[in-house]
Amino acid sequence: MRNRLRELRAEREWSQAYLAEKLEVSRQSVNAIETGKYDPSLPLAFKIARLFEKRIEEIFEEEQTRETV
Amino acid sequence: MSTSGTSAGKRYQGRVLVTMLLFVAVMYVAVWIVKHTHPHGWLLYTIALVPALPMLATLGVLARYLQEEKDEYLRLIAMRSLLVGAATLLTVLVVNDFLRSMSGAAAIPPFASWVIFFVTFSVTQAVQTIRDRVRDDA
Repeated sequence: MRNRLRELRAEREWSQAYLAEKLEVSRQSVNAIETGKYDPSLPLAFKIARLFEKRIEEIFEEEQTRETV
Repeated sequence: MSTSGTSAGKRYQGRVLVTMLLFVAVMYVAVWIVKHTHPHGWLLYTIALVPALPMLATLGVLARYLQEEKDEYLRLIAMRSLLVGAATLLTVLVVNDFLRSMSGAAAIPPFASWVIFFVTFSVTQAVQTIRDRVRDDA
C-alpha cells in the first residue's frame, strides 16, 4: 500500500511529532506509515482521512492501482 | 521496551520494575529459608516455587501492556518481539531436548530459558526501534 501522508504533512508544514499528537499515536507509528513499513488499521486510516479532510482512497492506494494509472 | 513514552509503556516499565524487585526479594528470602531451615516435602516444593511467581507475573504484565497500549504500531512491535522471543526459546529447548536424548548432552542451565526469552524479546524490540528512528524532516 502506498500513501501520501508525508506529502500531505509537508504541505501543512507539520512535523511528524505534531501529526502523531493529532492522531494520538507515537511518532514512530507516523514514521512507519509514511515509509510504508506499516499499513494502518481502518479506524486509524479514517482518522487520518478526517484530519486531512480527504477520502481514504485519496491518501492510501494499492501499489497495483498506481502502476496501472 | 520500546514504548515511545506512551502512558501504557510507562505503566509497563513501572510494573516490570516492581515484579523484578519482588523477584529479587522473594528469591533472597527463599534461598535463606532453604539454607538455614532445611525444609523438605511439600514445604520445600512450595518455597522453591514461590520465586517463580514474580517471574511469571511479568508475562501478565506484558499481556496487560498489550491490552492497554492504544498505539497499534507499538502493539505490533511488541507482538512481533514476543513471537521472536517465544520461537527462539522453543528452538533452543527442542534442539537441547534432542541433543540430551540422543547424545547425552547437558541440559541448558536453570533459569536460562527465561533469560533467552527476555533477551531475545528485548533485542528484537530494540532492533525495530532503531530501524524506525529516522530524522523528522518537516
